[in-house]
Amino acid sequence: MTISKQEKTSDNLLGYYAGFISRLIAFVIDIAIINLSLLFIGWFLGIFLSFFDHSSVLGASLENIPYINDVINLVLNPVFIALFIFGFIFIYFTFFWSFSGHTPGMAFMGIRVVPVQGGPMSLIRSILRFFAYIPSILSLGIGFLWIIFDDQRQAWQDTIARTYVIYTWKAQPDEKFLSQPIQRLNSQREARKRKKYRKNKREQEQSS
Amino acid sequence: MENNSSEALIPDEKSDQELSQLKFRPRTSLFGGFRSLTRLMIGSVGLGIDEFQRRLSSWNEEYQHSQIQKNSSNIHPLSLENNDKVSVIPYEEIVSDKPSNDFRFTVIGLLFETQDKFQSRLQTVSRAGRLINDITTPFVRPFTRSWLIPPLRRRYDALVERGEGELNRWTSLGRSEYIKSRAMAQIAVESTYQETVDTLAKDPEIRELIQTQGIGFAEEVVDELRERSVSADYFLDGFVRALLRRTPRAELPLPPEGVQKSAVQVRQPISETNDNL
Repeated sequence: MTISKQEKTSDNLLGYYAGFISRLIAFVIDIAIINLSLLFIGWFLGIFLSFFDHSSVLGASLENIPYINDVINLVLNPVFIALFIFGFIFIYFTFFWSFSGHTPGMAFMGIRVVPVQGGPMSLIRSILRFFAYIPSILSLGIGFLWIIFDDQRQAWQDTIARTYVIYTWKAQPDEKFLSQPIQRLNSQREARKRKKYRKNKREQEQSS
Repeated sequence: MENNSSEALIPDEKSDQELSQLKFRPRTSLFGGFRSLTRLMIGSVGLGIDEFQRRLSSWNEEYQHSQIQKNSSNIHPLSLENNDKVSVIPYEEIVSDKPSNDFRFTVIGLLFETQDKFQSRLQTVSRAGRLINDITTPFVRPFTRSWLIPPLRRRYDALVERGEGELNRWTSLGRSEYIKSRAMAQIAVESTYQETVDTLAKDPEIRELIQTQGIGFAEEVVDELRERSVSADYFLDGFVRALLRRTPRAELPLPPEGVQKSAVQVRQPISETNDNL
């Protein structure tokens, strides 16, 4: 299947590499969803465990339930909580990447993660990409900021897992938003090009 | 629920009993229909006048409030920009010396002047009537107290008494009917409103229109956010490259064919994929 002219034209960025801001907004949305989900789970667990504060639950004494204290202690253990949160985030990202190629935040922003050769993400690649977040985070975010410098707009996790993040909609810049700074940057770029061209020409003339 | 509220609006049986004592003519079905229609009209007018008076009072209060603001901030109330309820037409435009404005202001001034004059004339007439009464009473008193007058006076009193009785009956009837009319008009307004809302809610075309508008608005918001983020991507790229004096990116490199295909195809069959991992 190839992209038709209607879907891919020169004035839109469908299928092109997604930039840092789009990916950052998608990531923030995902983090917000994860936080809300964990909040809800914590609230639900809190209510559930509060039943055990009473001497009996539905007529049955707490003492009659085997290992109940051990279970409660395990659930309230900080290590268990940390592991649970990590596991939740791991499942969230790997499931969505391998299932549809995008998390809800990425779907909202119209971007998708794909392998460098195209096609859907495999589970193993998703897991690899998730763990590749660790060096990006440990480098104080430089791994994420690498998107700005890289030609293919790849972060470290993309380079490690050999993936790209691309636009899945007919992306085009807003006509008004930041149009003047962008034009200024473009004009500077043109000026630099002309200057470089003249310099090269002068050098050629001198050498000849 | 609706029936209960309707019953609450209808006056109790006591007023009906009072009315039955007033010896009304028997009601035929046609008369009942006319009566209902009359009630509806009177009730609507009553409700409308009440509502209009309430709004007039509210507008008057707002105007006075804006005048207080004007006095405190030296801004004309018609040109208040912080109050959306007040006209947004500039004050200078309203009071400009155009000929059409002159004519309009003349008519308005005449209207208010006539009203003031009429009120003062009415007070004068009232005072004059009282004065005439005071002056003529001593002259007329010998005639009114003569022996010829009492027989006529009795007849006159009887006539007045009968007239007053009739008037009282009309007043009672009017009071009772007015209460019923208002209740009926209120029920009519509420039921019409309820039916309108029900119709709008049940009409699939209107529901679809509302849903489509809601979805359309959400889509617009998402598109706007995406477009702005793409602009920000461009800007950040250029800005950082200019800051680090790196070679500016002429344009984004074209991704491989397979990657571009993945942008428009949600899921490919696993057999077609070249995923090596």
